[in-house]
Amino acid sequence: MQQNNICSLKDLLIKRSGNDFFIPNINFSAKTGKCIIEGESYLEEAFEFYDNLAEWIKEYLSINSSIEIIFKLTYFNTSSSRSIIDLFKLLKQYKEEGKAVKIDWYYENPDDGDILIEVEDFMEETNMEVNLLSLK
Amino acid sequence: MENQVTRILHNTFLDNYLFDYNSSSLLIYYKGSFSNKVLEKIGKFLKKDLIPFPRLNKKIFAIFIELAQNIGRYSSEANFFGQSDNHNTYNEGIGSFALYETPNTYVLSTGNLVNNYNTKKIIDSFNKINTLDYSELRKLKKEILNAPKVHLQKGANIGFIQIALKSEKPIKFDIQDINTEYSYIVLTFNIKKNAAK
Repeated sequence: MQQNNICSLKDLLIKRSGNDFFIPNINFSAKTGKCIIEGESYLEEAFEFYDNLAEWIKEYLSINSSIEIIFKLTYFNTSSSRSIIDLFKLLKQYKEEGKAVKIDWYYENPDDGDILIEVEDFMEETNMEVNLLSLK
Repeated sequence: MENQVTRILHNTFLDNYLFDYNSSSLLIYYKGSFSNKVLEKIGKFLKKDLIPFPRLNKKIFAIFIELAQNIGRYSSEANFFGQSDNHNTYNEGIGSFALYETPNTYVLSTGNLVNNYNTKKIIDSFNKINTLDYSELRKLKKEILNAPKVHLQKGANIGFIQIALKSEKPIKFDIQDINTEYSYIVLTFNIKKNAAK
């Protein structure tokens, strides 16, 4: 049974906007553990942005036992791919510690952006299971 | 501030590297700083079906972003806004970029200044990339993505590998000495119009 502690962890909501054009939309629910990363990601230095997401995930999993990360990225640059693979590694760690971790990756059909190749690489390198789902 | 030498080189870029006007048409030419705002504008322009094939369009967009972010981050010529130190802290590296079309390909080309202490490393990298086939490139990319981060690592260090995976080989590169400190590097990438990948 999922325990939802009523404590300091709030939802993480980040919206892509005028000045922050290169970031994905983020919607992490502290209530349900459903974490959506959606849109495009082409920050030049993605580490800081994704470290922020990782910190939230760590805090969430310190008081909960399951989480679902939902990727709906239609494009990401190489800087982001490093950060995404690091996120996969973090989640894999939690999975090995007994947390219920689910990763869903939605891809466009047809996959004009060759995104599936990238995700396959992430899966292979981290040994992390990912549910591949078509957006259409 | 642009000095006369680099101004000449940027113009030479246009003349020497965008030759053959009869059989090619220029779609985009830009010379200046590759700040986020610039990337945003050119990116939006690219996405507006400049190239009417979704897969090619996405490929070109992806390559453009990697090239542009490299220039912004690494070009030895940059906007300083009156600062006196040498740090390129605003990611406003300056360079030239061109996208043009031939009957069978789209071509992306960039030109920018580099520091001579980096040129050997750059040449070695491209030579290495040009010896690897698709699956070897993909393997190398995974290795680097998986490796521990190096000190002060900013990006993923796989930008050119990614571009090589999306374009025709060999990658063409040309480095000209300017003086004892700097050289000018021009890169050219071709994408076949009927490429399935």
